[in-house]
Amino acid sequence: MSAKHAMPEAPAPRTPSGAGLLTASGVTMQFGGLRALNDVSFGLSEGEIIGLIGPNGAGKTTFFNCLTGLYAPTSGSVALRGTPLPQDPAKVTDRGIARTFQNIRLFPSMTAEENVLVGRHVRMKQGPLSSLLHGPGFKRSEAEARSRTAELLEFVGLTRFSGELARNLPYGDQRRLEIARALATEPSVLLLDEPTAGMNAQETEATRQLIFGIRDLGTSVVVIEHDTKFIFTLCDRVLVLVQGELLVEGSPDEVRGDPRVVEAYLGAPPDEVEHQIHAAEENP
Amino acid sequence: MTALEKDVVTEPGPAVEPRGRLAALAPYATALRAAGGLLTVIGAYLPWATFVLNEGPYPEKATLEFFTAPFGVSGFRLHLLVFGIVALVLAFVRTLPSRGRILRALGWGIVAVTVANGLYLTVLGGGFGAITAADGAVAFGAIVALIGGALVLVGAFAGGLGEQLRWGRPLGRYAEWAILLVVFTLLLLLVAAVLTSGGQGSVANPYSGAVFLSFLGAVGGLLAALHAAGVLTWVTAMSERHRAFSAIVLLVVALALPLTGAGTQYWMTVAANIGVYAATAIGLNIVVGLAGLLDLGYVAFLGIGAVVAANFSGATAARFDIVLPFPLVMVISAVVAGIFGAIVGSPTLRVRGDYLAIVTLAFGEIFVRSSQNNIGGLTGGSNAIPGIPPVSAFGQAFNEKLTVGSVELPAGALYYFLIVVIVAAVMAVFGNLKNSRLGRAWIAIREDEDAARAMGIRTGPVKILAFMIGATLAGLAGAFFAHKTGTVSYESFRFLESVTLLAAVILGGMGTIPGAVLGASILFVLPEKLREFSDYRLLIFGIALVLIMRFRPQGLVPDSHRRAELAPEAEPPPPDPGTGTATGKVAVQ
Amino acid sequence: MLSTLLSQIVNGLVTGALIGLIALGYTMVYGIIQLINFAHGEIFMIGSYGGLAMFTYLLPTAIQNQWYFALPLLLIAGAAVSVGVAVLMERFAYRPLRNAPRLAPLITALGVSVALQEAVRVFYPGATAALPFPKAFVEGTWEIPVPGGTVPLRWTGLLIIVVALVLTFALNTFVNNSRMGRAMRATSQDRDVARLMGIDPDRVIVLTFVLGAALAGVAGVLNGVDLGFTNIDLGFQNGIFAFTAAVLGGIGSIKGAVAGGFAIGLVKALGGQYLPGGTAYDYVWIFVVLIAVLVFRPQGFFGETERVRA
Repeated sequence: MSAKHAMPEAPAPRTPSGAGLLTASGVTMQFGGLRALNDVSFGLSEGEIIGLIGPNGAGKTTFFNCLTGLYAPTSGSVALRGTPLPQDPAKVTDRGIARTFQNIRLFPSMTAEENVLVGRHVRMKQGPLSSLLHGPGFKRSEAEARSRTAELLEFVGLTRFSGELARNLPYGDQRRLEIARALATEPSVLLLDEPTAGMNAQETEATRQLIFGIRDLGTSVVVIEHDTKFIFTLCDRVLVLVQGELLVEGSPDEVRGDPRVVEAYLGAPPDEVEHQIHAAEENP
Repeated sequence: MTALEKDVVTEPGPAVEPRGRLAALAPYATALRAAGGLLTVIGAYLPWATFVLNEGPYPEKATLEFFTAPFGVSGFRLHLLVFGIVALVLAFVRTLPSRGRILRALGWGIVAVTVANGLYLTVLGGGFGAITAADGAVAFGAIVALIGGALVLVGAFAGGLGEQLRWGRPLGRYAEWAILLVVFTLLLLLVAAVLTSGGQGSVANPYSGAVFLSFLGAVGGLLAALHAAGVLTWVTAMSERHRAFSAIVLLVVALALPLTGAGTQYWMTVAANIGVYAATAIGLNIVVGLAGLLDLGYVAFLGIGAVVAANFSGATAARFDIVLPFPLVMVISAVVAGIFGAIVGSPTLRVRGDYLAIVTLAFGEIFVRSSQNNIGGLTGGSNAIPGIPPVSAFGQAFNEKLTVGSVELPAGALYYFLIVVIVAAVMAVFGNLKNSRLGRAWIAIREDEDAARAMGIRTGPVKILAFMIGATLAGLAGAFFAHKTGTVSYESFRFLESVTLLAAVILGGMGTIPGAVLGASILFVLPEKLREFSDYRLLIFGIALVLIMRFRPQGLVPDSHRRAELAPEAEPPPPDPGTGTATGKVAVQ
Repeated sequence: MLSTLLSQIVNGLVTGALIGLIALGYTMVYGIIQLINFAHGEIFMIGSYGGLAMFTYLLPTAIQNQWYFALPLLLIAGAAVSVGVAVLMERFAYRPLRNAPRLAPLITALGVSVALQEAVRVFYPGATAALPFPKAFVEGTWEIPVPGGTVPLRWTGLLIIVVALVLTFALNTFVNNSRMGRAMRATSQDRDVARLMGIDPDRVIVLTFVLGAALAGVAGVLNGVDLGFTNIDLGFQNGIFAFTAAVLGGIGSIKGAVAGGFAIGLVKALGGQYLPGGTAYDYVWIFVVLIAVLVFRPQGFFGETERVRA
């Protein structure tokens, strides 16, 4: 559990406590005149579930985008097991970080099974020539991928929808399918962006159990969520992000009792801040 | 073509709305259907023209002289008679749940046949009088049959379409093999009949278009009715279960075309031309249909393949004095085209969407301009490269007759065999790739490029690979094209050809093999048949493109994925969709 | 060879002014509905036939030779025909596809382009070949003396440059200052928000097509007057050039479109003169520029709008 990453040059607001697996140091993201993230540091250790909460427009998704290589941070760095991550989402996924999206981004005209199979892309040993000729190597890798896919679909409880188009799945099941697709890349870190948005209480509870299950399989999880009750009962540690700054970090109990968090939520900035961020994010 | 559009997929989409409007007519549905069927039968027996056309009676004697053989109807009148009787019978069969759908198919078929013939008579007979009344003679056949078809349609919608029939139970393996064998043989005969119907369009044969279109309408109606009755789905499922067997039988069946009525030099040439464009269209389908990258300069790769082949052919205008064997030339053409494909595809690293389409268009135009100017002495410029010798093997030139035992194959049959093999190979490439890691990566990029990257797909190389493989296939077809036509000119590779290929892919259905083949077939057979309308060919083509995008953007044979979406009540698609859809209808050329 | 250089620059400016006029239609339509309206080149071509029809069938012989009567009437006729066709095209081909996947309108635009070109070829008498266009302006050339020779500038060429600049200025003023202009800009930013503000996007879109088509129609007539003939295949070529110009100038930018037009005109004239291959390859250079711009600077060189669609 030692902090392996280099300490940021500037005096950090607080030392990331649980460093080890995934570390972010002093991540700052500037969109034109808007600073969406300001000097955010955190660390994630093996087998941990971290919650990321904050009002709309606090920069949570922006932070995910920085972690996954979609955005190049203006300054600061992100490292997995001490090695800096490349600025390319595909390579980051290859290295072992997978994510879901806030607005579900499945491949709508592919079946559930095919969606998960796409997730196997980086783990499949099947070159273009093998794809073309369908030799014995191909058959082996396809069989392996399909059996792994079937396991994952069963794990998230979607076996019966295996041959269904992603776009025809119920909303909650689409979120689960997205998780299965991300798990197919065999990540050591899974980033979930609002996994229970739009779910009813029952589905939310199922998702909570699912995330515990993922953790038990040895994958660390970072969750963005608005539902604080969900977060406080799920996570080992909670980070509160407000206007791009890391406001509070601690155990669910510590965070829940912190007056700054209450204030930040009640005095949440007007929606226009969110608008600005979205506008800026569309044209980085 | 309306009827044909309905032949393969019956979706509830357009049916739902009129049903609401026609709901008030529901109590009269049976009466409407029966009346429609009856009127169609009557229409088949009425005279269709008020005059005897100068080439003798209008095809199938549908003129006032029909009484010479009152009950011996043939041709389109026979089709109408059969459709009418079936509609009449179905009107009273209450046990069939899908009869609404079948009747709709028949209704469209009747309308298509009637409109095709009625329009021809009107145009050739100098006006509306030709199919109504003139000089005291009346000929209401077209009108009556049209009303009949319309009534059948209205009745079908008013009474509810019902579900498509499903025939579940798999039979034993040998029984299914036997059925498939029969079905594919029938398919061969049907293809041969469609191809030759109406004969070769020319000044001497002014009715080829009418006969062909009418026959196409009848076949479309028939196929749609069979689909509504669940037969096509049943056969498709069967061929999915025996994929290897189906593929072999289809290949054999395709090779047997010269033995049918289409076994003449002319039809062999037409079929080989279709093959060239079908192979090219399948290659384009990888780029557009699978990877979702719009390529507006694709025909340039066909051109590059052809130019390379021409230069190694020993033609007088060839740049090189080397004559290479044809198989080697094909490989070189494919490789060179593939390299250019990678070059043209490289901007995909930075450019997306319709800007990419413009980049490909620009590359295509650069190719046309450069070859027009005989760049590097390679393309012959405006003189083209003429005199490319035919392919020959074992002393047998491919453009000549061949006698094997007692069977005499027409000239051009060898080229036809060759292109069938090429098309089969291209199909195999497409099918294999589609159901592989690479193919799934392409489709993922088409669906959502950012999400694909988040799944670890290196989108840049994968997209360039799509361009490269597509171009390689076109280059292969280009080498064949050069030898078969004997002349390579930049004129054959202009922008309009790219648009036509794209239209073939879209008309057939993006992302599917039968779609590309069907689209290429329609777009390259129609002009042959409709010679007398050649002046309007491109006008109709342009308008058709607009109408397709408006009313049936998914094409005639949609991807099984999209098909499932269109008919949500259908069973989930089989775990391994894709090439399977090819088997059932591949030969519907 | 100063005179050669200057002559080519003059040629380039004339061509460029014409391309710029067409490019305005591309840039406005793309700015508002993100459609590459392939058929816009044909609208330009149809404008020239509109003017020709006016001259051939409607204009009294008495004023056919008096350019100050004939030319304005020709321009009005060309613009009117272009506008009519464009409005029909928008209404029946593009509007039904407003929410379709982006491939659909682009392919529709290709279809419209083919259909329009063929419709003129089939239905306009004699259009199967190039048709002579009336000399509805002062004929002759202004020989501008320069050291070592003269630089010829046709009066019709001068006319094109002047008209292009005046119309661009007028359009720019309209878009920036009028109520409808503001509605156009609002719609191009966000159609849904514009709708909430009480703007009818359909009306704005039609207006955009009307303005673009009117300019293209004028350009068509001017081109005919300058060349002395018109032909059905002029639309496609010039359309692609104009699209290049629009991208070069930054799509959505009015000044950019005209500047891009001049740039393309100069590339064509100077490339044809000085680059290997000569005039036979001048088109190739334009396409090379097109590819380079789309790949390396898709936001163009006058990117006053932040909207980048690459």
